[in-house]
Amino acid sequence: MEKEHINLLLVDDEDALLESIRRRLQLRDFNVIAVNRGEKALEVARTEPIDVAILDLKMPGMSGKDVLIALKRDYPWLEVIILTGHGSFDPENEKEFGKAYTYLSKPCDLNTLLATLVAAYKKTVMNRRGMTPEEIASRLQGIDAASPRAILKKLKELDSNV
Amino acid sequence: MTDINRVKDNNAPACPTSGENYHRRLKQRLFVGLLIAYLIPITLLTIYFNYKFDANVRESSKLQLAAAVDSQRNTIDLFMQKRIVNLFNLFHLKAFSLEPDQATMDSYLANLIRADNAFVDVGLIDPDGIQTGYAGPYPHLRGKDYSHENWYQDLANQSKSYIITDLYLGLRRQPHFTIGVKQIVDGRFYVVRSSVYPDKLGDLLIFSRHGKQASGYLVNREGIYQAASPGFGDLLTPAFYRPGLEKETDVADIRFQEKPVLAAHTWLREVPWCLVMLQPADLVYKEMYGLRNAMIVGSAFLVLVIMGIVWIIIRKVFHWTESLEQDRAELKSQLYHAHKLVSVGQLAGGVAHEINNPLAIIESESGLIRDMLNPSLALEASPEAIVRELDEIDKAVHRAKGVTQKILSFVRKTDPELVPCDVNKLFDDVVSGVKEQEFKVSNISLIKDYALDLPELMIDPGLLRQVLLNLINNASDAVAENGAITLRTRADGDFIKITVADTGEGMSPEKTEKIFMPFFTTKEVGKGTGLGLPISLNIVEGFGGRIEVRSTPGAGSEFTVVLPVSGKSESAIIYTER
Repeated sequence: MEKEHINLLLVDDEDALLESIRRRLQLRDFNVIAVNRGEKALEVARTEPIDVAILDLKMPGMSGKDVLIALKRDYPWLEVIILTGHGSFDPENEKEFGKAYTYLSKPCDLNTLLATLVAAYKKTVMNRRGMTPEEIASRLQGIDAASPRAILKKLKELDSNV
Repeated sequence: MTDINRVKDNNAPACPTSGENYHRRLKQRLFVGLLIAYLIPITLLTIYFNYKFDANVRESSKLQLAAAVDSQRNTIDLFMQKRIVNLFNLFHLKAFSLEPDQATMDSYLANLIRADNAFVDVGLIDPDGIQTGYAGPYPHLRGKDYSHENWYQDLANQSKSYIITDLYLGLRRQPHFTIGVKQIVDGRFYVVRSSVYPDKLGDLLIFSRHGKQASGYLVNREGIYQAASPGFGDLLTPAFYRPGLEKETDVADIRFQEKPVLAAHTWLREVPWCLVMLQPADLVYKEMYGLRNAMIVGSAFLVLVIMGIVWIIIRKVFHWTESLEQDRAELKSQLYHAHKLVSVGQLAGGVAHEINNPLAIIESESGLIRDMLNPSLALEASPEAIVRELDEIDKAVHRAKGVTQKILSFVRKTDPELVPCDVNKLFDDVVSGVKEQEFKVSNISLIKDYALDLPELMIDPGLLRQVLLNLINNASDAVAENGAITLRTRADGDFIKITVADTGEGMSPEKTEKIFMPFFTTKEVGKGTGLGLPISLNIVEGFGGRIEVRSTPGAGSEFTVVLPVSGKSESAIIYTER
């Protein structure tokens, strides 16, 4: 169980993608738990304290949408990022997807992904700790806004010591 | 279970050219049909009226002739009576003597000739039958004994006081007849006789009424000419036509000198002779024929006018329907193009997913290699490690390439290209790659139930592929996860049956009725265009086939494309670009 690092649940049926993203995020101080099936993701969520999740939509078996619904039901504070390659997917038409933090389309460059992860995790901390945006902004004062690593470290601290 | 067959009548216009033929044929048939419907009654009516009219005119012509002959008979009877009276009058002359001298006899003759110059001579016969007095051209007749002559005996024995003999040659070798009258003077029986030439009667045998001339003759009971107008033959020879004795008056159709004539006869009252009058049929029926000809010409004219009107109306109606047909064809083609755009959009959406995934891998792998080459991250950067990642990039590139090739196989030229197609292979092509991936993802099992002995179809594979893809898309939208889609091919006589069956939600009969209507969709808003099935039907009908639908709510639907093995090549023209 990682206390220092952010626990990231990464779900995608593309093994090559899963592995490369896992390795790159791992290098950037994430504790990545990568699974290629929605069912496995829910299993992991039960045993590991997940801080933030990245979900693919189209997967064999349980779809990303069902995983999202299940996660938000059991862990309402958890923020989930949807990462999908489907071009014609339009979240406006899908009511259930309102529960996701945001949508990213594949391919997505790492900096964007990192920035989104920081924002989503900030939201998770706010949810979990009942902080207002002003509170969290004041707590993060003085930290280099250009360094996701620094912000994430600070956020993890905030999340851990209450 | 509903069962709907979209069966296309093969005569229906499937393309502009065959449509024109169809219209021309229909126009001709309609025209002929209307003409027959009109001509048959009018012809029957014309024939019927003509027949009735003909019969009436014939009857009235006969009656007219009979009446004319009747009055002519009276004229002849009157002539005879006058001659008899002329003879009787001799008895009442002041100068009458039972023993006349020659001068007295001559005066008698003069008296008779004054009355009528038909009289030839005159004789007085005493009770012993001896002609005691004579005046005329044959003086040797004086003293002739008539007591053995038939007419004399008849006159003596009959109650009627006069007699007219048949025509005979007599001693003078010239046809004449004799009129004899008897008178009792002082209890004794005297006879005055006179010979009459029949020429005078001949004059009475020609008459003209209403501009129609009739001529005829008189015959005795034996059918021997007694008098005749010129042209009938010699007197005292048998007549060519002898009327029957049983009817006093009658009219008959006979032939005279190779021409049809109307023959009217009537028996005289004073003499046992029969008056026969002939009138040429063409003369009698002249007016009738004229009227009939006018009627025929009138009818023909009427028919022509009506033909013209019918033709004009049919042309107008067809002109109108043809322009409607044209509009419809235009709409159809617009619909087709609209659908093409929509399906390109759908394809792009589906395809984007398949390309974005490899792209995401490439992006991520290249990022990883960068990380490896970044000394500050202290990753293993051996060539082997980098090559491992590059291999992943290559794999992703190949995947993306496969997808773009699939797209190219969908986006083909629009001219229908008829090539022999193996339907099983076409089915495989349609479901391979993208579709199979989708089914795997959604846990839909795909059952291929192919007939291996399928004949090849002459068809445009691109168009048929579009139809099959539409049906398969519908099936995969209809089945929930863990459902099954069955692809089945069967040879059935001259047809190939291609079935896509699913275990989806099925449709009610009401829905099934509507699915071929453009823009009708059972899918969620934004998902279905409602164009897939109408376009598919359009294409299939273009190849002379049909689409059969069987659907049970809750159990699934089955769409079967039935295509003739000998494809209708010309029909596909409608799908070409304009």
